[in-house]
Amino acid sequence: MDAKGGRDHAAYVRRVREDTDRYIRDLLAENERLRRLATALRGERDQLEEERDRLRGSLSDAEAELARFRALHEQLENQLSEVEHESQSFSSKFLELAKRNNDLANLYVASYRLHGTLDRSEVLTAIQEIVINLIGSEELGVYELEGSELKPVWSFGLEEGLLRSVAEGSGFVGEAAASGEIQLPGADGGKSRVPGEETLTAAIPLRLGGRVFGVLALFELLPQKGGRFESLDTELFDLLASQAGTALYATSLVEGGE
Amino acid sequence: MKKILLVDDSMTTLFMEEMILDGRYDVALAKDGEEALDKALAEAPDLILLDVVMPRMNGFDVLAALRAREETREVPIIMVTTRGEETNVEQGFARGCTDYVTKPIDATELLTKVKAYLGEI
Repeated sequence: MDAKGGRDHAAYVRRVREDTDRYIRDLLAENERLRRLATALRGERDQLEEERDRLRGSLSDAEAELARFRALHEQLENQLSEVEHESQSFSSKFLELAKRNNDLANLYVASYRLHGTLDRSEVLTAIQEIVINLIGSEELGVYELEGSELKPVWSFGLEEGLLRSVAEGSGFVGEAAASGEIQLPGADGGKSRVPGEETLTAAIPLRLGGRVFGVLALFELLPQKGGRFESLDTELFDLLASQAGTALYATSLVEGGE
Repeated sequence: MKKILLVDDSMTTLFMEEMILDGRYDVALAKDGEEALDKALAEAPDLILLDVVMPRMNGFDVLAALRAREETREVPIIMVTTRGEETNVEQGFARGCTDYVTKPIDATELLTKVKAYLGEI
């Protein structure tokens, strides 16, 4: 190799060495940068893990709180249901009591009216008013027993001649007198009805003690009754059977005494 | 206490209405239409319960007479009737009644309507 070649080679080696040194410096710098970046990322990772753990704890607390509220909500729902049920029960009882109170008032009024006079026409008016205003029929008649025959002695709201004498035991009116029991023909009463009883709805024996001396007959009901009797009506029938009977009998004693 | 005039020719109905209302309201009684007109002026009731079927002067005529008077034109009037058929109800409303109840009277229904028209519910 000549001197020129030697100088060229040295220059080349120098350039390679310089390039290598620069390359190594660049690598070291990059390495340092990456090292710092890794440290930063590790720090960030640690922070995120801490945050994650903290959030997990909060979530767990929130879930526990939610479960507690759900249990409380269910408990309150059950309590509300019980209170509503109890309230409905009280309302039903209140309505029952109000109805019973109303029924008793009706019975008291009926009894008071029947025994408020010893005048026969006024007793009959009281019976009429009780049947019209408390039971709900504007067609009624009274029979009295003479021997074994029931004779019509009074009526209200009925056609002339509708009521006819009836033998004791015949038809519903006769059966009421014979048995001493209230007769309610109802829908199945067609076969046992005698002429004049076509629209009869109730035959109430008028009793004094155990003795029947007449029958109170009720015919067609007012439209608002819906064609049927209520429990209060049955109680009023019982009251009429005993107390109307007693009241009418008392008037006959007064009239007889006069 | 508010005052209610009860008009009915039936002692039984008057007694029943009085039992339902007494203690809650002052009550005045009239046994026929003419007495009803006199007492409506004299007693100045806050509400009138008026029977329909009465002798000499029926409830509809009483109603018309009450509505013709300035003193009683605005008083709530509840007709009390055995006749609940639609035509009778329409006749009542046409002549100016406020409401009606049918006999046999239901105490709860009557009290609810009375309270409603007296502005208590």
